[in-house]
Amino acid sequence: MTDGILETFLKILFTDHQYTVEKIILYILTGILAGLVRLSIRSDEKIKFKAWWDDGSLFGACIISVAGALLFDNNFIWAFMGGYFLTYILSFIQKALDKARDKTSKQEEVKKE
Amino acid sequence: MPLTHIFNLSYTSFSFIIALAAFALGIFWTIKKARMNFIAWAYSIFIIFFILFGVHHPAISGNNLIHKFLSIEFDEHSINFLRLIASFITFLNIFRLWCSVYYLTNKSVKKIKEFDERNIKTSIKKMKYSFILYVKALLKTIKSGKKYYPKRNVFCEKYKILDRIL
Repeated sequence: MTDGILETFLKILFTDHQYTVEKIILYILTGILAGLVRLSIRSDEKIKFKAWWDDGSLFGACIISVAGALLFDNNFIWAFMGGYFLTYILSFIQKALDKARDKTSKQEEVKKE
Repeated sequence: MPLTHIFNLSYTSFSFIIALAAFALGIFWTIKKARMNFIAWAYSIFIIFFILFGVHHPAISGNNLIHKFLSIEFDEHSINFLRLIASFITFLNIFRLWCSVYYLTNKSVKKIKEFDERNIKTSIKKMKYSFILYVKALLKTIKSGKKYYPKRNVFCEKYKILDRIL
């Protein structure tokens, strides 16, 4: 049963859809646009381009926009949505992990003292 | 391509010029190390306007290299979606600009109230004074690309729903 679903899924992915170079470039552009719109909306003041790259949101936006467009509907809107919301969720998780790491490192320092 | 062709007054050329202006503004703000919200707005407007209108400009459609990658035919949903994003972030940043101007002129507004409105001469003076005041504040915020209002301001507390965006 699952093999059948997988087979049809892969068939749709690689035989029905056609991925031209222009389309892949368009989706990368979509990812950049999604990242830019996210930066424009959120209110953090001290953001720089370097931070944008460092927290992985640009890279993530590009990857996810390509993956989103290919997997879902070969559609610009899906690519944008993927690039925007999933990087937002990823950075949210990353922030939570950073906070937890800071807490444990502080506790270890206190124990050593 | 002659310059008159690029800067003629067709709708496509007008949008093309807006895209270029947004790009220039983005570079200017990047050099000035302005607020990232404004820089990102400028670049995204450049991309959106370029995809929507710039591609149809004769200066671009004549160029095979650029046109090959950017002459993508969007369906109507995607075009409307792009328009929606562009208008949303534009209105958001206009609201931020307005907040900044309001905050910068807030102290001087008391001075404006001192003018006597019954006298025509003083009312003209008041108009002049307030106009210059608001334009100055607007230019100051656009030039620096920074927001001047603190988040915990009385003014911002009115818009608590927008606290995360402001």
